[in-house]
Amino acid sequence: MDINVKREGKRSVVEVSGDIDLYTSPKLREAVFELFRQRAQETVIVDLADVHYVDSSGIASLVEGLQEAKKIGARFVLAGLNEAPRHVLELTRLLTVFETADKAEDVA
Amino acid sequence: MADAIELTVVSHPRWLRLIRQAVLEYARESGFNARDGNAITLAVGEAVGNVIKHAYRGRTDQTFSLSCRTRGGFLEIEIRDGGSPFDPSGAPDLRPDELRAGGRGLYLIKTIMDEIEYGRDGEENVVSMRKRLVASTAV
Repeated sequence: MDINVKREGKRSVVEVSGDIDLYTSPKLREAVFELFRQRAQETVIVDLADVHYVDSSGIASLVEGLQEAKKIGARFVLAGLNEAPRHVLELTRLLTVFETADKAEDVA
Repeated sequence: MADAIELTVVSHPRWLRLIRQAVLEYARESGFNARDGNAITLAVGEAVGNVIKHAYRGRTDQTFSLSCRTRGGFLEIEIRDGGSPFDPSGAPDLRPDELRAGGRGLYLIKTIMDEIEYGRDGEENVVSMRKRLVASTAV
């Protein structure tokens, strides 16, 4: 899994490619929390357009990101959900808990 | 499909992807569509994650075996490890809409698979998961 963080003012996009699983999810969690540590009150968009597998540890990292965002009043958006990651969020009934967007660039 | 496969794998999470590729291929060969194949793969990944995290308590230098076969109208996946007794079938269900970080692995396994069984065979944990084959491929 690879992560690329793009910063545009108070808006950051975390571009993820590859599988998010027990092996790789700590890296995603660290990237998201590093953004929250560096600056508050921003929008963090996790771009999952190049992700086709997310397991429960990946879900846990995303939930932790959402929890941290709520704590500091930031916005946390999942963009570009492919079928399998969307299915996992549906199975865990978390799809409606997250703000989602078709594409990262759609997030105002 | 009568062929069975068996893998012996080191308990390091870096090999999860390899396991998923093998299980997905086997599920597809057994007649499951992409969506169901991905879901079965997810369930197996969660079960293997439990072996690494709980049975082996994070030790990455142990081994476990994973076998896939079709039998009695089911795709059957069996995982055997030599770690501490860990019964995933007895863990409590998670309220799925609860906004807490962990604990969704077992819920996913139970939701995706039709049957899950746990037993001890000597010093081994044995977890068996079954998914009913689609009608056209049921044997």
